[in-house]
Amino acid sequence: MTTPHRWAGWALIFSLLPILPAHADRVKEYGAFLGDIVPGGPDGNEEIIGIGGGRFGISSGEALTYEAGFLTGAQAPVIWRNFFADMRFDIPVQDILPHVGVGLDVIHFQTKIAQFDDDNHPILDASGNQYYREINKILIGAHVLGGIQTHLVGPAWLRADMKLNIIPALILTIGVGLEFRLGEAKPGA
Amino acid sequence: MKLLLSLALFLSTPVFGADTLSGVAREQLGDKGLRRQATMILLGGLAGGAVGLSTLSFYGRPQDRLSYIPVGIALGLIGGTIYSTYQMINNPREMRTDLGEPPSRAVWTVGNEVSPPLLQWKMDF
Repeated sequence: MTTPHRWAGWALIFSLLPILPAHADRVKEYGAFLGDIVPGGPDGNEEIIGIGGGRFGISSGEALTYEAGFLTGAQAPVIWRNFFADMRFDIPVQDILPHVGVGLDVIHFQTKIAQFDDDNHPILDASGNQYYREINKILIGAHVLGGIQTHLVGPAWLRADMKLNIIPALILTIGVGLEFRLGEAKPGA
Repeated sequence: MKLLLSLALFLSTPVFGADTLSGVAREQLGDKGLRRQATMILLGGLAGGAVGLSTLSFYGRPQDRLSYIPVGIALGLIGGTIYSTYQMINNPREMRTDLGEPPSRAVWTVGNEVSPPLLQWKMDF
C-alpha cells in the first residue's frame, strides 16, 4: 500500500474508534466471507472478480449494528481493495434474520488498460510491446446493503450479503460467510 | 483530506444519534404502527432487490444489467409502501398497538341493557 491508501484506511478505522468505548458492553461480531464482485465500472473494470474479506460489528443494543470491514480481490490486471463501514438494521422474521443497511466505502482500484489508435491497432511502446495505461485510484463510494442471516450453532451465524455500490459506479458485491457473535445472551434475541 | 474528514465525522455521528432516541419515543413509534410499517417497506425493498438480483442469471454478462437491482429495490419499496398504507387504513388494529382490542358488543349497551335491534319480529300466542 502506498501512503494515500494507508491514510484512507486509517481514516476509516479511526472514524470508528468513538464507537468502541460507548459500546463496551454490547454484542460484538467478527466474520469472514467469500464472494464475487460484479462491477459495472469504473472504466477498465468489467470482469467478475472473486473476493475475500472480513468484517467487525458492534451492536447498538437493538436492531442497529455498526459494521466495518475490508475485502480484496484480484483478476489480472485488476486489483481491488475495499474498506467499508455501514449501519445495518436487522429485521427478524421467524427463524431468519434479514437485514438492510447503508454505508460508505474507500476503494483502491488498480488496473492496466490496453491502448489502441484510431484504426484500432495496438499502440506499441519503445520496446515493441503493447502499451498499457496504468490506473491507480482511490475512490470514495456509498452503498446499500441487503442480506439474510441464520443462526447455526452457539455464537456462529451464516450470513449472505448483497452490497450494491451506487457511487463510484454500480458495483455489486455478493458475499457468503460465517459470523461469530460474542457477548450475546440469547442467539437471535 | 477534507473528504476523509467529512467521512470520519459522518461515521461518528450515528454513535451519538441513534442510541439517544429515548425509550418513550420508541414506544410511541411502535404504538402508532410506524415501526411495523417501516419494517414492511424495508422488507419490500429487500425482496425487490433479491428479485432484481435473480434476473441477472439470465444474461451472459450480468455486469451490463446491474441496473435491474436498484430498479427491483425501488419497485419493492413502492410496493411495500402501498401495501403497508393499505393495511394501515383497512386493518389499523393489526398495525397499531395503541388502539387496543376491537370493542365487544357489551360496549354498545347502556346500563347493562342491550340496545334494541333495528329490526325485530315477535309473535305472541
